Amino acid sequence: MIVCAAVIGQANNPLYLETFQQGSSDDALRFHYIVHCSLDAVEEKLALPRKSPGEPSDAYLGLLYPTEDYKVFGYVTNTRVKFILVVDEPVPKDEEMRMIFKRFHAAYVDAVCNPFYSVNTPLTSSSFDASVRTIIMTL
Amino acid sequence: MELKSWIPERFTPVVMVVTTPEAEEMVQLNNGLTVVEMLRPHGVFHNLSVPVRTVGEQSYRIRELKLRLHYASSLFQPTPEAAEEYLQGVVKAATQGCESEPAPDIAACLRKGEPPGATPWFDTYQREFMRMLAFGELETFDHPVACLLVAHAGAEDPVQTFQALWAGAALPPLMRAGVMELRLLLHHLLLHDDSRHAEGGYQRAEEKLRVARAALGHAAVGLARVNSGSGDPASQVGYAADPGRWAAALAGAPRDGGAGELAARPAPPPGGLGARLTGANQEALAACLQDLAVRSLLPALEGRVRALNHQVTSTRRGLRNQLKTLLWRKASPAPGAQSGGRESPRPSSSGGSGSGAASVEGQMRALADLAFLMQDYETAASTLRLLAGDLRADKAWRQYAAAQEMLGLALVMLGAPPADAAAAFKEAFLRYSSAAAGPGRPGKDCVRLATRAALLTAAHARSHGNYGEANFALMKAHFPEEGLRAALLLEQAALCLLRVAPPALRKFAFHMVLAGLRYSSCGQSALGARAYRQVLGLYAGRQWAFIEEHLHSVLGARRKEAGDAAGALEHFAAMLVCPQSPRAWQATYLRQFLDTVAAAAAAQGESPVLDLPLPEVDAANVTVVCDDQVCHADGAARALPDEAWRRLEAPLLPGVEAGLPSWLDGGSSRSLAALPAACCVAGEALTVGVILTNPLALDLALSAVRLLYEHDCGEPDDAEAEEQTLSLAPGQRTTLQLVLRVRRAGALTLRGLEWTLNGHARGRRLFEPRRARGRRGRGLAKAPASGSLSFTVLAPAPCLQVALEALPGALLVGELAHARLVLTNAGPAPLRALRCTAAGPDLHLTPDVDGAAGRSATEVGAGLKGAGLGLGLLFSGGRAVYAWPPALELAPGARLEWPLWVHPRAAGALDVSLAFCYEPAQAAQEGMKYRLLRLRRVVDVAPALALTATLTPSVADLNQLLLRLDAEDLQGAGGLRMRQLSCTRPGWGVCSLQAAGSAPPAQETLKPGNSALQPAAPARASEALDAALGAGERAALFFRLHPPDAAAPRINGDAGAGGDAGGPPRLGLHHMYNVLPRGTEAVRAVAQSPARVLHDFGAHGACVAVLRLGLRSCLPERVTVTVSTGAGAETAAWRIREGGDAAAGAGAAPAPAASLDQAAGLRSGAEYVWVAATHTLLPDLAPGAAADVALQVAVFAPGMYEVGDYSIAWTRAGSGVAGGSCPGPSFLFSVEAV
Amino acid sequence: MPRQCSETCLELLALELVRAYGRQSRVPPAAAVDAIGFRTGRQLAERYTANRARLGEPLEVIKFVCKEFWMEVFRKQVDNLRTNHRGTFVLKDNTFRWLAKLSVDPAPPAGAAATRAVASVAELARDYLVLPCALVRGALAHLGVNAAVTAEAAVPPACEFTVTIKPR
Repeated sequence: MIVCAAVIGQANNPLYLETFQQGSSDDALRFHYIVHCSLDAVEEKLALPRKSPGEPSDAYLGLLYPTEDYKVFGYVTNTRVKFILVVDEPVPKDEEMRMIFKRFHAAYVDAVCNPFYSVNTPLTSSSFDASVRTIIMTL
Repeated sequence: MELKSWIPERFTPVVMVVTTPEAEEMVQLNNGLTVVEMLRPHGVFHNLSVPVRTVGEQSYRIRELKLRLHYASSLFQPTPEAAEEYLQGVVKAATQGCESEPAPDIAACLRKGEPPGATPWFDTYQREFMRMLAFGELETFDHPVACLLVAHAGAEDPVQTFQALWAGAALPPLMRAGVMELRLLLHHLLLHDDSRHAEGGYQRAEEKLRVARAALGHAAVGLARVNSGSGDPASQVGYAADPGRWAAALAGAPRDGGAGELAARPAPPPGGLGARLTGANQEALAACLQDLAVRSLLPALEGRVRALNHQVTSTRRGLRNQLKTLLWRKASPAPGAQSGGRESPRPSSSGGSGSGAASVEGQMRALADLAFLMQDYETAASTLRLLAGDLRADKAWRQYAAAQEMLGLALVMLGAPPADAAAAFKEAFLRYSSAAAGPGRPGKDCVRLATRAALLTAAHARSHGNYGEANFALMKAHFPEEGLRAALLLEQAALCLLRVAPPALRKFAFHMVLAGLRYSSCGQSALGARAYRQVLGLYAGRQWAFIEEHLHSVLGARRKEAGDAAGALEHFAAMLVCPQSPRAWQATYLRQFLDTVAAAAAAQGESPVLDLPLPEVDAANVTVVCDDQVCHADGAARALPDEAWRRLEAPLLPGVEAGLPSWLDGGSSRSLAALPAACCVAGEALTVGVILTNPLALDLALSAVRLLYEHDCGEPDDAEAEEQTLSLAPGQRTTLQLVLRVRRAGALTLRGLEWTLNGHARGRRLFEPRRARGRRGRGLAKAPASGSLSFTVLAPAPCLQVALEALPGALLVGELAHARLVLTNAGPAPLRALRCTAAGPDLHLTPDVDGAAGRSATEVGAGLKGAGLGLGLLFSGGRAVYAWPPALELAPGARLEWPLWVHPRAAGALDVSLAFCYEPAQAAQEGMKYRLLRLRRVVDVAPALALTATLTPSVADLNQLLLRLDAEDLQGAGGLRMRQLSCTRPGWGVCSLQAAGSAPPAQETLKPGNSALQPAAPARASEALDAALGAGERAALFFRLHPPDAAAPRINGDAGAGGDAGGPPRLGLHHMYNVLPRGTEAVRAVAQSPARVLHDFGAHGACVAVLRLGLRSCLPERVTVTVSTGAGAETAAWRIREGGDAAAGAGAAPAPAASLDQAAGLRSGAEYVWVAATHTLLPDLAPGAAADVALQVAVFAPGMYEVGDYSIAWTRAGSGVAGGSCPGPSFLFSVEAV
Repeated sequence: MPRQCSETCLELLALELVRAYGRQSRVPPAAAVDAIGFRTGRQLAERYTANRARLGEPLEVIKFVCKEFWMEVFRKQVDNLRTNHRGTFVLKDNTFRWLAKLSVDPAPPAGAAATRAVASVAELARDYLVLPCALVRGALAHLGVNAAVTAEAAVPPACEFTVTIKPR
C-alpha cells in the first residue's frame, strides 16, 4: 500500500507531502528525505534519451529506486511537476500504479486551476488532500 | 586505497620471530623497541634482482621484496569484539578535531569540478580493518613461511640456546591446530650488545657465530651488533635519525594482542626510539635480513611452490570426482619438505570441509598463496580458478568465497580486464554474505569478510572510475553491518555518489544523513555532526523545511552538548522560523533557543547579539520621516503633494520677489539647493518606520526595540534612540515608529534594528535600503540613489510649531468659524520675519487680534519682542501673504496666538492649509536661510440651507420690487434660524411685506431692531428678521425692496443663517449674487384708478371718471412715451415696429384681468367710452423718471368696470425706430349712483 | 464531461477586462492584464497537457500550443507556423476568434477611410491582444519554454503571434 504521496514543484520544491501511516513525526521526516532523494532518480530517468526520436515518452517513470523497506515510484507531468509515491509491500502492479498516478495528476490539476491558488506554492487545499486520500485508499 | 600499490605490500611473506628474553631486554631497554620493531624497517628490500623459477619453465626476477616480521605469539586473529574496540579507537584518533575544521562546501567543490576525496580516516580504518582480519583460517598468505630465532650473543652455547628457543616457542594457535604449515625455514640471528663490555667483546660473539654456523648451517645464522650508539643523536651518524622510520614500524594492537602485534609495548627511552642504534648497527641488521630473504627464504619458497604444484597436479590428474578425492584424503601424509624441524603433528582437518592444510584444496590454496607471495600471479590466478571450481563443486562456500577474493586480487595484479576482477570480488561478496546468514561465530565473521570483499570491490571499481559500482557495493555491504563500520561504509558510498556523472547530490545528501545517524548512534557524534554539516548546504534554501529543521536541531544539539552554546545558537536560530510546523513545535523550538541563549549568556558573561529571524524585519523597506528645511506639522500636511505646497509657499520665499526662479519653473531650483539631499536638524526628531512581522503561531514579546545608528561625533549622549516594547500576536504585521534624536551636528547613518526577544534573546537586523522611501517627496527621495540611510545633521535651528485650536471638525456651508492659531518656537534659537499664507479665499487672518493693533506684544503672546502686532497684508505670487512685523521676534519657547476666520462657501472637504515661513534671528548659519512650516487640516463642510430668491416687480408700486426668498434646511438637524437679510447693493433697502399688509408666512415672527451681525460688505439698509427653520422644512419669505431713485433694479441679496443649538450661536452667511427681477419692461405703468366713483346719473347721464396712470421709464436712455386710448384696443395684442427689440413688452398685461373674469355682475367693456385726448405724448423721459397721465373715460350706468383697451408705446430718443408698445394695465373701479 | 462555459460570456469577459483595467489608473493596464493572462495560461497548460505524452524540446511545446492549446482556447488551430530555427516562431491565425467582433465606426470620408479605419482597428486590437499573448506566454513558460510573445494584427481578425524563445 502507499505510505507516502508527494507533489514536487518545478523547482524541485515540495508542494505537497503527506504520509499515510500512523507514525510519529520523524517518520514523516524520513519520507521527506526519501522523496527528496528520489528526485535524483527522477532526473536520471528524464536525462535518459528516448528509445526512438518519434516515439513519445511516458509520464509514468516506474520504479525510481528501492530503499531498505520501501519502493519509490515516480511520475512527471509536462509541466515538470513530479509526483512521488512511496509504496511498501505488497507492491501494486505497474498498470495499477499508472492509474493511480493518473488520478493523482487529475486531482492536482483541479487543485491548481483553482483561481485562489497561486502557482508553485504549497498545496494546502483540503479538497485536494481529501481526493488524494480517497485515491490512495482505493489500493 | 590504491589496490595495485596496496597489494604488493600487504601480501608478502610472513616471518615468525622468536626471541630470547635476554635479547629482548637488551634491545628494549636501550631503544624502546622490541626486536621485531627493530628489525622491521630493514625487512624491506628495493632494487633486488633475484632470479626465481616457480612452476613455469622460464624464470623471472623479483625486484622488490618485503618481509612481514611478527612475534610467533601474536600470529592469531583477535576476537571480533577486541577488533571492534580497537577500530573504534583508531577512528577516534584519526578524527581528532575533524569537528572544528569547516565542512567542505560540496556544491562549490562540484562547481569547481573537484569533489571532496575519501575521508582521511577511512583509509586508515580500511587498512586496520584488513589487518584485524589477517591470520584467518580461510587463507594461507598470512601463514609464516620462515621462523627467525633471535638470541643474545652472550649466550653460553648458541646452538643449544636456539634449539631450546624453538622448542619452547609459543606457536600460534592455527599452527598448533595444524592449519598453518609447521615445517618452516629456520633462521638464526645473534645480537651482540656493544654497550655492555663483556670479556672478549665482539670477537667472542664471532666465535659463537662460527660455532653456530658449524652446527646449523652456514647460511642459517647471522650476527649483528647493536647498541653501539651512546644514546645522543650525534652518535646516530650514518643514517638520518628520523623517528618516522621507526614509527612506521610500530603498529597498534587490540586489547590482548593478536593480528601480528603484542599487547604491550616497551616504554620509549629518554633518547627516543632507536636511540642507541648507529648506522652501522642498522646496516648490519639489514644485511642479516637480506641474507635471510635472498639466500635462504626465496629459494626455500621456490622449492615449496614447485613441490606443492607437483603434488597438486599429480593428485588432480584424472581424479576429477569427489569420491577419489575423499579416498585420497585418507591416504598418505604429504611428503616432508626439505627444511629441518620438529615432527609435524598429523594435520587434523579443521575449519570445515576441504580446508585441511593437507587436503588437495588446502594444498592448492597454499600453492596459490605462495605463488602470490612470490609475485607469480599467473600461477596464483590459474590455481585459484581450479580451486574455486572444486570448492564450488563441493559447496564449501566460505572457502570458495575466499578463493574468489584472492583470485580477484591476482587478476588485479595481472592487469586482467577490470570486469573479471570485479566479478570475482562480487562473487566473493555474494558467497560471504550468503554464508553470513549461517549461525554463530562463522556467520559473524562472514559478515566482516563480506565487508572486506565489498571494500575490495569498491576500491577496484573506484580505481577504474566506476563510482556507481563502488557506491552500490558499499551500500550493500553496509546493510548487514552495524555501528561504526556501517556508518563509514555509508559515508564512502555517499562520497562515491558525488563522482558519478551527473553527481547525484540528493542521494549523496540522503546517504550522508543516514551515515550521520549511524555515527551519532555509535558514539562518533563528532563525525555525525560533520556529515550533517556537509549536507546542510544542499538542503538549505530549497524549501525542504522539515529536513532543514531536522539537520539544524541535530547540529544544534550536538554543538550544545559539545559545550559550544554560541555555535548551537545559530542552528537553533535557523529553526525559529518554521511557519509550516505545528504550534507546539514552534513553541519547543523557541524555548530551546531561549534556553541556549541563557546558556550562552552564562558562558560568555553577556548574552550574544544574533541576527535573529524573529520577528521578520522588512529591512529593504524602511521609511524615514524627518524635517529638514521644510517642516510638516503632522501627517495630514505630508499627505498633500509637494508640488501643491511649493505652489502655496512660493510667495513666502525670500527671493521670489527678487526675480529668482519661482514655482513656475517647477520649484526645482529653490534656494534649498545648497542643502544636502538628506538632512535633518540637530535636536529634532527623526522618525523611522520599520515593518515587523510575526511568522509564527505564537505571541512574541519584543522589548528594548531600538535603532542602531552611527553618529560621527562619538559621545553616547549626543543622540538618544527611544526604546520601545511591544508584543506581536500570531501572524501580526505592524509598522513600528521609532524616534531618534541627534543633539549635535554631523553625519548620521541608520544601521539597523536591535531588540530583545521574549526577555533575554538579543537580536538585530541590519537595514538593506534597497528603496528606502522618504515620505517627503524631495529630501529623501534622492537618498535611495545612494542606497543608504545616511543623513547630514544640521546645526540646531529655530523650529516653529503651530497649533490650530478651536477649529471644529465639521462646518456648515457659509458658516463663519473663528479658530485660533497658536505659534510657538520649539527650537533653541529665536526666529523672526514670520510670514504666512493660506490656501483658498475661505481662510482669513484678521489683520490684528480683535483690534490688538498697537497692543504691546506681551498681551497676545508670551516671549515676543518688538511692539506693534499689526499684520501686514501683501499680495505676491498671486496670493495674500500675511506678514508679521519684521521686528517681531519669537524667543525660544515664545508663544503667539492669532485668530483665524474660516468661512467655507461650498460643501465638501475644506482644505485648511497654511504655510509659514520664518528666518533664524541670528545671521543664518550655513544652509538654513529660512525654514518652512506646513500646517494642514481638512474640515468637511456640510450644506446648510438652500436659498433661492425671486424678484418680481411690484404691481402696486412703480419702483419697488418683490423679493421672494425660499429657504430649505438641508442639514436636517433643524434649529436653523434666519437672522437677517440685507441687500448689499448701495441704496437699496429691504423691508418685510408685513408693512404693506400682505400676510406673512405663518411660521415667521418679526422682531424689529435685531441687528445680529454686521455683514462684511456695507449695506445701506438691512432687514432684521428671525425665522426659525424646522428640520428639512422649507420657508418662503416675502420682502419688498425699496430702490433708491435710480436705474434698473439689479440687487445682490445676502442672508445670514445660524443654528442656535446651545452654546454660543454658530453664525453663517449666505451670499446670492446677481438676483435679477424676473422679466424686464421698458416702461412700467401702474393704474392708479379711484376705488369708487359716485355719480348722480339723474343729473347727468354720463359719468366721466378720471383715471390716473403712473408711468416710469425703466430704459437706460431717454424715451418718448405715447399713451393712446381706444386705438386698436380690440386687439389686445401689441405690435412690433420694424427693428423692435425683444425686451419690449416681454411681460404681458398684469394678472388681475384673468382673476376678475369670474367677478359677478361684470359688464362688458363696451359700456364705456374714452373721452378727452386719445393720445397723450410724454416727450423724452429721463431714465428712471416717472410721470403721471390722466385719462378720462365716460360710463353711463353704475356698476363695476374694467377699462383696459389702451396701449402704451415708446420710442427711444434719437432713433425713431427702436421702440415698442404694450397694452396698459386695466383700471378697475366701481361707479355708484347717488 | 469537462466543465463548459458559454463562449459569449468568455468574449464579453475579455472585452470587459480590457475596459475595466483601461479605466482604472493605479496599475498600468497592460501589466495587470498581462499578469492575469500569464497566470491563466499556466493553469490552462497544466490542464490541457494532463492526458498527453511528455513533451520534449521547445519545438514540440510550440506545436502543442499551435494545435491543442489553440484549439481549446481559441476554438481552432493556428493556420500557419513559421520559424527561423533560431528560437523565433511566428504563429499566424487568419481569423483570430477574439478579434472577430472588433470594429470601429467607419470614418465618413470615403477615400482614405478604409486604410485609416483598419489602422485604427489594428490600434484597437492591440489592447485586446495583450491577454492572448500573456496566455500563450504563460502556457509556454509553464511548459518550460521561456519566451517573449508579441502579437500584431495588421488586418484584423487575421493575427500574427511572434514567439521569441529566451536563451538560457
